[in-house]
Amino acid sequence: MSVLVGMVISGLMIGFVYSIYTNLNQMTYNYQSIHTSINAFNIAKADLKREIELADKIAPYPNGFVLEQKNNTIQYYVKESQLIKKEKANELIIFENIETIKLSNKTENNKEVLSSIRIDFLVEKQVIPFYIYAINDLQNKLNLSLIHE
Amino acid sequence: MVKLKAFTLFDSLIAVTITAIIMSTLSLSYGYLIDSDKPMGSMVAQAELPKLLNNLKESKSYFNESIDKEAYKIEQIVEQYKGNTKLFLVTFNIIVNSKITYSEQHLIENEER
Repeated sequence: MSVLVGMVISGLMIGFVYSIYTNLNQMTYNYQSIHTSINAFNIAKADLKREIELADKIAPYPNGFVLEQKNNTIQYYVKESQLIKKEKANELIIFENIETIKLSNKTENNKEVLSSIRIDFLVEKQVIPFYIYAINDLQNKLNLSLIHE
Repeated sequence: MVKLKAFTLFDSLIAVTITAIIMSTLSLSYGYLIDSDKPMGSMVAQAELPKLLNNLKESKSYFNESIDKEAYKIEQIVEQYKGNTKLFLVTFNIIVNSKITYSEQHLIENEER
């Protein structure tokens, strides 16, 4: 009888520990998966920011845009929901899940000019937008001076 | 060969209790770790800030504002920069679960003048 009771209690104990272990394992996996997606988004965002800072001009491109830098031209476009960076002959996938890329124009001196770009990144089923606006030099200078105050 | 005594009901109960305490402490620590992490809402709100700043500059309506969304709240505070009427200091506070998770400041020109 006591052996039977011992076996039942041991079984309960093993089941209890196992269920906690699997739950913790699942939580850790989810946590890592979310952070991997967020890291991929942050890397893509950092790449875009760096290249945009170096760009002299931004122009529309089929399903994307072109950055014209001093000695280089980079095309960013969406192909089958992937954000691709094309530099010279090299194509690099910057991000896997892009929902939309939207370019807005405005009229300036009777000419249609690109005013903003919105890229919707899909991170863990959540849409995170990334906006690109024309940089106002004076505002930049002001903000830089504010940082050092 | 050394013979081990069979567990009694009391021994087993003590073992289960100790295991339960250890596991619940671990789960609690993990729960706090997850809780301390910035939620996704804060990231989405941060991504919306350039748009808000641009809208503010274009509309030239330099007012305090509060944007309430399901996952986050953004507070926009506009004040004169050190009494200078030509400059505005814009502060954006992102509030998630009643906590300020991120704050950002920008200086913009007063284009109304």
